[in-house]
Amino acid sequence: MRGLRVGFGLAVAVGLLLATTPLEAQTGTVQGRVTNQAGQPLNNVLVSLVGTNRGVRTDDEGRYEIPDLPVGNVTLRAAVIGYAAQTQTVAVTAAAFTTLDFSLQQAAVSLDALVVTATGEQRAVEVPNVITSVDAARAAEEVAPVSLSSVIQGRAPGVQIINSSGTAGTGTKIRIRGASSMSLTNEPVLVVDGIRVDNRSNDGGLGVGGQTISRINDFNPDEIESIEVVKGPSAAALYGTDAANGVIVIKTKKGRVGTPVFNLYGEYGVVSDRNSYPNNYRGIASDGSSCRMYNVAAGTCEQTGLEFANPLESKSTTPITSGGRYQIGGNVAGGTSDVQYFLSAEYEREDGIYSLPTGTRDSILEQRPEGYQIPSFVLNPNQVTRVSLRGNLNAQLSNTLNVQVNTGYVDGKIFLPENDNNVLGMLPSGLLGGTDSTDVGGWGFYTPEEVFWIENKQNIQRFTQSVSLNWTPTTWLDFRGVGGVDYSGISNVSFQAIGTGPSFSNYKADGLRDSDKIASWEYTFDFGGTAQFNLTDQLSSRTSVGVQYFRSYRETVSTTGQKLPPGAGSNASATDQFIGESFIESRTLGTYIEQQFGYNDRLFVTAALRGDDNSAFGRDFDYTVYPKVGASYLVLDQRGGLLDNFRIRGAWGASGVQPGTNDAVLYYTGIALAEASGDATGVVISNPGNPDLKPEKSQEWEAGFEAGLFGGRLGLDVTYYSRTTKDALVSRDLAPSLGLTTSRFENIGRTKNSGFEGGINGTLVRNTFLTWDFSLTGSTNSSEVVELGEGVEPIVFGNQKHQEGYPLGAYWDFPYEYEDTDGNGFITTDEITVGDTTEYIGYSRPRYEVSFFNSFDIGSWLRISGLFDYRGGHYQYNNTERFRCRFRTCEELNDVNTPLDGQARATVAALTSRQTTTGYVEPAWFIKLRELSFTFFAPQSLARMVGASRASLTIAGRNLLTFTDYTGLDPEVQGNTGNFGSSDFLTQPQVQYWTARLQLTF
Amino acid sequence: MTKHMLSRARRVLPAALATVAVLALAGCNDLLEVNDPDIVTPDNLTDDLGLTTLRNGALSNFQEAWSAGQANDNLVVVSGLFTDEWMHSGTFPTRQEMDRREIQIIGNGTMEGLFFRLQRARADLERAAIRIERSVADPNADARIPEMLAYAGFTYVGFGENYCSGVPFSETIDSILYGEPLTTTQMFEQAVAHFDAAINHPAASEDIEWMARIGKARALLSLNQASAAADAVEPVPDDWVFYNYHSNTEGRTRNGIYHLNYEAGRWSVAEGEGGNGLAFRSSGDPRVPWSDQGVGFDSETPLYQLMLHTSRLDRFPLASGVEARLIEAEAELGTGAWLTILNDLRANFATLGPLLYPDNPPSGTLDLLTDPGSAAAREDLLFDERAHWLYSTGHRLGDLRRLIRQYGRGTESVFPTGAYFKGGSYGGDVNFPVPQPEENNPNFAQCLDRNP
Repeated sequence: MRGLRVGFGLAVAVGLLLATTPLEAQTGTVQGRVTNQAGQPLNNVLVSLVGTNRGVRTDDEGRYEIPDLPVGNVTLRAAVIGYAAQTQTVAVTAAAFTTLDFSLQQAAVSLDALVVTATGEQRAVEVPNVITSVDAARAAEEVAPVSLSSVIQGRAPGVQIINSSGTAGTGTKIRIRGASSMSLTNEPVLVVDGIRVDNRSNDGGLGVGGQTISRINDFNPDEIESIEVVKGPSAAALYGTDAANGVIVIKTKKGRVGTPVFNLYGEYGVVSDRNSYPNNYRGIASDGSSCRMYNVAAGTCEQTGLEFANPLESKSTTPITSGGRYQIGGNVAGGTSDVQYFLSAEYEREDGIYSLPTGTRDSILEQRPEGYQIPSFVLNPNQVTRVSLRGNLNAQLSNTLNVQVNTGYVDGKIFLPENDNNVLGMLPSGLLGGTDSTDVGGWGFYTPEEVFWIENKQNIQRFTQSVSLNWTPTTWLDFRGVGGVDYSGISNVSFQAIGTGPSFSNYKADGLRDSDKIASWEYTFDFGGTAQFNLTDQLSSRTSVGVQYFRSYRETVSTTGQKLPPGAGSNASATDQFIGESFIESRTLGTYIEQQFGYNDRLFVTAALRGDDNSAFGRDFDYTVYPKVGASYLVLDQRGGLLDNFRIRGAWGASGVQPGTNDAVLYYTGIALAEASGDATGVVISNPGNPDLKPEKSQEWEAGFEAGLFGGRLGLDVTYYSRTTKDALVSRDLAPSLGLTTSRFENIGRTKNSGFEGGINGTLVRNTFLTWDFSLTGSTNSSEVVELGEGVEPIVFGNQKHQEGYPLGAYWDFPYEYEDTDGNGFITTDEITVGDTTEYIGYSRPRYEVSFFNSFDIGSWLRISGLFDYRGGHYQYNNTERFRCRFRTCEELNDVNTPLDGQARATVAALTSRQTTTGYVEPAWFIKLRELSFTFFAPQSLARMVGASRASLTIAGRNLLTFTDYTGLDPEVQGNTGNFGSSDFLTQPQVQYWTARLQLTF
Repeated sequence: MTKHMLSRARRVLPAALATVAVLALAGCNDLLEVNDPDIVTPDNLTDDLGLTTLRNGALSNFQEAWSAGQANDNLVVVSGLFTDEWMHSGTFPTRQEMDRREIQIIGNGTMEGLFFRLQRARADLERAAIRIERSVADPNADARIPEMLAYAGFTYVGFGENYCSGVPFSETIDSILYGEPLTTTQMFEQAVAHFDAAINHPAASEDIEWMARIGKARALLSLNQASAAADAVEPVPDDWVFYNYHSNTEGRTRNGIYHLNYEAGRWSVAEGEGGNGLAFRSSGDPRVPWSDQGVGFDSETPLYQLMLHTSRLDRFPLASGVEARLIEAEAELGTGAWLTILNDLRANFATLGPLLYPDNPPSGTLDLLTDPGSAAAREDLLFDERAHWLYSTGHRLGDLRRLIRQYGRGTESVFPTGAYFKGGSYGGDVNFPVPQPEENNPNFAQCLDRNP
């Protein structure tokens, strides 16, 4: 029956398509050049036929050509970000070339520039939402970003880039307008050249203590043309299930019409750790015995001094040195009007700040045969190398058919050191070390010489290919088909060879090797059509329909080998072998329809509907529908004066996040039973199932405005958003006495996020000698667990919890009060009163973010830019210091001169029964000088000496200054990789970069 | 829109819509069909092989809850930490709460995990017994049924000895039936009922019968029926031992005592803990052999390894003839035969010690005991003997509670008390609370009482 339906459908489609024979008509061509006011050519400007989808982009000389235009008057528009669009009407002559040039004026607000939507590109003025564009190409050239996520950082209000650590290659969490889901991912969907790609933020597999790897950073910033951030359900409804957390749309660079233009660049940099690691203390009495602050307070000893050691700061023991960063690459773009290409290649390497101490290195070599070479990962356990290749091809197959083939390949290798919550970690061993530097250098657990022999490596080969077909049978109708796959082959290996490394848990005696082989596929098939035309002289219409299909599939083979013979590098040689295998698959099928009406090219009203079904929905839940409506009104568009233009907009929409692949199903998994005769096979219930499971659904409305001021010099935009997530999946505790599992997912929660975002940007000074551009952007976010579900207790994880009426994942713990009642200058446990119930402390994620960017062009030879990054309104758990107190080595428990508040928080955390962490949950606001760069543009005469048409040298610094009240090492790190878990726990703080980048254009 | 454009629209737009229709008509079900070979669905577990697989899973869960588990603290180690057997050489506050006898009902993940795993083992064992009984042709001939019942009985003993009064036991066999809280006495009575069902089952093997007899007697001791307990264990020979087996296959099958003590350095053999604790190290008793391994994970507390478990595979004595004789000795405490029984065990230590711990046979000799004279001293001696023969086997907390409940001792005279060695002082808990997640059971609010 199903086959019959398919056959019938195909027959209908083929019949209808055959009926659409193109009609013959007389046409002509319009060509011209687009320049700025100074007469300099502007490339990548879209010149389009107003009211249709026809358009072309200018080449490097600013030239364009649009063939096959109907004879008669046509209206063309030239638009690009950073300039006010210009519209002109020209008379097209049959079989002739007509010239039409444009001269564009700079503008802080570009309402006519194109933004990417789920139904294709649209002018920003037509879209009722704010979509933030990041000029990635410029950022890559001018600030030498260390990762793709660092390009977005500070450049998109409402988008939080949460760096996990200062360890090279470690991950980033991205939160757009806060986090809505208590249980599911809060990461946005990542779309590259039209297809969804793997955006796991915690693609771990390497058991290094807490740090993981983010897949977004596989992509090379030098290959990226633009990044657009679709912020919430009101905008992302048509992206369907999974888009409730927003969408990041990346377009890679494309070819340009013209002769080949070569870009070559090289980068060299120094990575350094400017943090000061605290000493490990022990109060001592005259006989050398321990006499800590609390012993003094108890009158059991008299402290005569402090013994301390600091293996992380001591030159003879520290493995922390300067690392390096290197990059060399090139690309070429060019083509004819029929075929354009972009090819690029880059090699990148970053060596983290760790290095085997010289003395240790010499000692190893002395013990080995002559000529022995210490393995690279032992010399530096933190390295990133990456080769990126890209080939993008755009071909005009006919006047109506265009194809784009985008192919990217990444071969990456990341070595990570052991750290964070990890007894094998280098920082844990230093920060929790002893106080006698003569005793194994003061290390607490293991020395660098031991730990660095553990190899933790991830290799990835990632292939991302999309093919996009655009068929424009008429000027008012186009069809778009995109298909592609994002494939990753990943190998995770943690290896401690026999006889090497720390003697933890017999690993040195036996050897241990964990190996994961992962194959991951993300498929996208997206087919849609858009019809746009003018219904009357004043009323325009744009209708889009489409179908999308996504399949995400990942299979993993995990093996562990113990008792490996010397020289063995494979688990095949292990005496004890363990194997595991897992498969994860998710499929989504969605359809959508969108209708937009425009009035006088000023008022645009949009309504849309999307329906989704997903393999993870429960058997009793069929499909879900996501609607959206919005309006945009260009109140003023006078192109000059105090107020150039002013637009108001508002939108409402819904989107969702799907549950996990098997969350709806009752199932068991295999386990072993140890018996006298050996192991037997058993099963355990892994999931109790929930046949009613459905996606979380987020509804959001937003409203705002944009204004161009002072002749286009300043732009102002403000947006308010409010998002409510209902049917939020709560991992509801089950009564343990049921003996099923500890919890199961139920759609019972409700959360809310709201806030403002926006900014002001523009040019403060513009003359021959100085151009001063700036942008000041910011955002706020308030989150709340509105409802957890009837009878559901607050969800507690450590000293954080989801509780009704409070922010998601907020910090909570027992409050305490103290008073030095005996006046002896010491706070003892009996002078501290601890509350009986936990109390709310504050947000665990920043509530307020401000980015302040300035760029100064001095003449035509120097550009200086800097980015300050502020985050505040939240707390950070300084678990590092609390843990040091539990190890009795923090200053506050040893130094008798410690202020009373410091004594109190240490005493209550380490010596009382509650061990409340409240004193170590600290305000974590900070201001960082995130970027500072100097770009020198060589005079053309100098560039020509090396045969180049353009040459520049950029000196860029990152993470240069930090202002904060936080007493730990870095308020920005994340030692916990969970969805909300947030703590600074023996985590590598952010490091400082200084890089020099030379760029030549031929 | 011109007439020309409208004409074209009429031709092209239907094509687009038709294509969309084709995809929709193709059938969502096929496109969304996902098969995950990782998981086992219930329909795979209905035949005899499936039932054995369920049996194996239930036993594996019991072993994990009782004595195994690399990452999950089992009943034996937690119970020992709560008493004077072990001291805390790690850093987890939740474990320190247990060592200090002051356990938070909310947020103690260690306690939540332990309670869940013991409940899951209990529920899986009971579910497996019923599934097998309903599926096989002759339940009276199926040895798996008494096996499941006997092990389930041990879980009730575990709850009764360690937890507060008021633990509920729910069922999910045909539908969800939330359990009502049972008093401590009711828990032991449930245990006895399960053991009796196993003992009286025609297909029960000798090992399962003796194991059930030991378990029944253990429950009867807690019900203050020492004489009946002695009767129950009478058939069990001295040299019989029933083990929990461990393997290196998964974290959950590894010997948890060895892991948390030696491998992780979080548990250390205690010595006179909290004043009342027994001198397990300094007594030089060969039944508790130990070794100095430096300092524990917290870099502060000395790490003393129990040399009865020195690898991940080492067996754990769940029930034994030695325990049977100790039960008989307690029943004879007032008659004078008790000392003879204890001395017989001591005289045969060279044989019985290696039987209890065949993977690490202890060596040495035990001097014969003399009657200390007073009733209280005899009780002390008996429980001292139990503490050493049954060191770190999950008996000590039940014994300390019995000393209070049945022998009139004060809490502060049997449990570690006073200043805690890591700062602060010991709390007043004498048992484990039911953790907060059980409040999702509509029939449960809190422990009925926290009395011994």
